[in-house]
Amino acid sequence: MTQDSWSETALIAITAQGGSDVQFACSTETVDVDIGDKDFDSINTLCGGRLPKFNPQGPTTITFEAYPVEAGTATGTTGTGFFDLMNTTDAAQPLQISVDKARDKYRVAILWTNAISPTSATQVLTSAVLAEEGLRIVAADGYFTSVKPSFTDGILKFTVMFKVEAFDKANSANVKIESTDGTADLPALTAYTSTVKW
Amino acid sequence: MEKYKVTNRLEQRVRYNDIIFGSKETKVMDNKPTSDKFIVEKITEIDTEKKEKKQLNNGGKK
Repeated sequence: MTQDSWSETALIAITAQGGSDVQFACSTETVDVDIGDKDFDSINTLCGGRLPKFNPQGPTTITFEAYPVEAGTATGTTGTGFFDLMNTTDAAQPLQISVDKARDKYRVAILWTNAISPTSATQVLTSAVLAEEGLRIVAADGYFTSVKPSFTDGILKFTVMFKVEAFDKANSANVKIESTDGTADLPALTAYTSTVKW
Repeated sequence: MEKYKVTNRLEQRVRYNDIIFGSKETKVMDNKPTSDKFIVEKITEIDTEKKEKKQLNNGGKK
């Protein structure tokens, strides 16, 4: 690995089940990933020892601070808004997205890479010739639980939260972090569906 | 009038104007959505003629 750190830029792809990857990096300023804790409680035994009582791993939360200019994304692979990620999406202008009871699953992928002109957070990183390095966080089958606009700083900012359980109902992982040091390909993520996470 | 077979590509509900498409649902429409959330196929006249012929053979029943 030639990288000392990952800084300045990243790619973000948000994908609805059955949909295309939609890129949000150009409207996003910050991203914070709070991986669910694998915590435990301590049981103190009478001899002075300790027994860990393991708690099930908690959900992972990804928070974005973003500056979108539309209510949602009607079409295309560039994200223009976030409110349709929490409610039924609209596919025609004018976008009219009402609050409703829809709970749709999404996949979020975040990629840091030294590849020249990367286009998607889900793309392949190739080792041959270019020795592309990268680190990717992927969380699938999660829900957007919060979309909060604010204008306190004189610019319309949306704080958006995506929350995902550590495992699905069948005990398959919903979160993974993968990387390559440039000596092996990092495969592209497979199209996201109800049966394929990545 | 041209007709289009419009299929919701997503595994979730999508709103198009005032029409709600269910997951993967297909509807026949007079206009063509431009969003990539849909798979749009133009229904050709041959298909329409075949349908009409079939209806005639069935005594007008659909």
